[in-house]
Amino acid sequence: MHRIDCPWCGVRDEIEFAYRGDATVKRPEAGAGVDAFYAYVYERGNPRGWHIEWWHHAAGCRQWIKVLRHTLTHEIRATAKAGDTVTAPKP
Amino acid sequence: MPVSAPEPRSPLVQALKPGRHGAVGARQVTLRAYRRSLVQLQARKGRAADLATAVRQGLGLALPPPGRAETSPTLAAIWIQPSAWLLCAPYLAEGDLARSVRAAVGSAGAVVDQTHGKSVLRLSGPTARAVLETGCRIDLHPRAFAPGQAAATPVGHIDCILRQLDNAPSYELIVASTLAEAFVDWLLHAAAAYGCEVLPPD
Amino acid sequence: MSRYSAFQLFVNAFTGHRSWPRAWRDPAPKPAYDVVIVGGGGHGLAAAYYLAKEHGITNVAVVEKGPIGLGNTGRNTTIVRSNYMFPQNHHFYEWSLKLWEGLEQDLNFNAMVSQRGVLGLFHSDAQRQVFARRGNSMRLSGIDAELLDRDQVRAFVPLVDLDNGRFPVMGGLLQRRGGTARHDAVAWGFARAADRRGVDIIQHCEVTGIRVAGNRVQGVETTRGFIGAKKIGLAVAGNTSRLAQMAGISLPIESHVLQAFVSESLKPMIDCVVTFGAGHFYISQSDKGGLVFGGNIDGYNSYAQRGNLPTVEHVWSAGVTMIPALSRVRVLRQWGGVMDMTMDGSPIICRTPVENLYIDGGWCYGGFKATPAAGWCHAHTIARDAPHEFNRHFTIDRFREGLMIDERGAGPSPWLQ
Repeated sequence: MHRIDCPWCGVRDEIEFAYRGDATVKRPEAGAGVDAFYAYVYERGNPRGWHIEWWHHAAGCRQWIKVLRHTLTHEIRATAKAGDTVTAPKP
Repeated sequence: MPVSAPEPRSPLVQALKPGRHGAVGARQVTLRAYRRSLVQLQARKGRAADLATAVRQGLGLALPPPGRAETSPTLAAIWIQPSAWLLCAPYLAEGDLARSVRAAVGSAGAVVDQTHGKSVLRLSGPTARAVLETGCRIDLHPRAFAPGQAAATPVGHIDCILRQLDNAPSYELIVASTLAEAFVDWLLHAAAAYGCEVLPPD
Repeated sequence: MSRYSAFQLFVNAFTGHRSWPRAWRDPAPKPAYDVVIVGGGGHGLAAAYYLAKEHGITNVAVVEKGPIGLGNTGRNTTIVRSNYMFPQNHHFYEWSLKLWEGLEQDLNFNAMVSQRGVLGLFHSDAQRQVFARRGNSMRLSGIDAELLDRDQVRAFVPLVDLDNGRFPVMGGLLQRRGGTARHDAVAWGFARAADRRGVDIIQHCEVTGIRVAGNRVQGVETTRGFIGAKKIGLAVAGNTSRLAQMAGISLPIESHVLQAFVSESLKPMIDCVVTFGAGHFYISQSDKGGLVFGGNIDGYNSYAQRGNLPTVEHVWSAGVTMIPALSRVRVLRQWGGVMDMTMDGSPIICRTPVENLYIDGGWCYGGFKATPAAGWCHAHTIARDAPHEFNRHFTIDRFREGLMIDERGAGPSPWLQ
């Protein structure tokens, strides 16, 4: 069971959140070209290990937060507000 | 100016019949619907400090930090999300609270009347925590949750703004009016083992 | 190696069934093969089998990190069907169903294929329209589909609660030729049949790297040493991203966990496959009596072969809503499998930007039913270095070209597909 430490609300149950995917993808500049937008929309690192991801606290404070979570063990090591920087440990 | 909306009517007026539900005994809880004016107040971008000052001066209340509620004799403010609060006061007339809050905060905050959209309940009694715990996933034990604290969290699968009022303990539960009937249906089932006295609406 | 037959059964009875030869060999890897298939699940074994059978390529190895069939092949809910909406899917899945229909004779192995019917329930007028449209689309491609009304649903699955207060059943879309198959037996059958045609099945041999020189594959690095290969096919759904990355290819895939459940053994109560239309839930009953059921993916990236409780609760509540009798059933086992969730919910069987590297992956939660045709098309693509008509739409390039095959209409959010 995921227990996610919302930076605003404290530790809450997974059921309060909606998963919103990989938080490391960055929208390219408008003129970046098809390849850059293809990579942005479709390609994912999909790591087996530490993953920085968006969770939306939909049933709580309604904020998107960043979560550093391990995709094999489901361990959550860090959470942060949307604007904060989270770095994944080296594998 | 106020639109010609009808008087706010919670579905609980129909759904929550006063009387006894479930077991009878000393462990029972009481449940009551409250007629409240509700307003969501959100700071305009970069104006959080101005808004806090305006509310303190105009409404006599300090806006609470995350996870908390502040009360004055006539008004409660509950933190619901960053730079946003739910204000709650006894209902006087259509649009009353929104008008006074708007006058107090001016351009520092956005004011949205929620009176029609949400219903307010209070659950009280020695087993109130046990009743809520059957459907609430946050820790309500006194070491983790006390009067003055508040949380937006699902209760019985329905999103709820929950705050503790006193050590009876009493809890205020604010849910969307469209789901209030389903919520009360769940709550009376949850309370049946201890018994629940539904009091006439406030 | 002898064929399985009633006569063999009779003969072996004299020795207490202790003299059966092993069903497939356990060879040490040779230094090189014409084709190395990575992944010893149903898909990989089927690809090897059809390479040998259809294309005469027998110098083939299937390398598998554990025992064969222990990944998603042994973790699914065993449903076979071809009730898709889009023509790009029709011919592929229908070909798969046709292969299922003749599979046991072809493999000389009892895969317990049972065409007991797959019924999808609908609960509103709008949903009836959607189902009718899908059924009509199927029939236009020559696939069987029947729209049932309430009374017909009642007759077909008496235990379904037609009068549920929130989700009354208005009817269902039935594919009678759909059904179930014994998932483990599918892996075993393909393994034995491929082995008989000379394919080396190398278990406990994990691929740790793909050697590429001059944009052409050379072979695979494994825990049992380097194995040279003229061509490599990946059939490692769940881990396709990781294997493709070993060859420098980035894919439009996220790995997610899907849970499945089996109840205690019960007397026969559900003699078909039935799916709920107002939530994600599907159920059938195995020949052993256990109810086999599942629902949606958990909805977050995961390589863990286990899920979490919110999804368990969701699946069970959907099940009890559809069939109230399930409320007293005890669950015996629960597990998870890792899904390749693509950005449009459809699979990938194609060539890759690296020469002589081929991918069969991106199966989302629908790979089991595709096993024979996926292996068949993968083998064709490897042997001819070109796709068959059946899999020519299942490319990686479709995302770049705007030719997504999005049955669900969820867009590039894999956790919603």
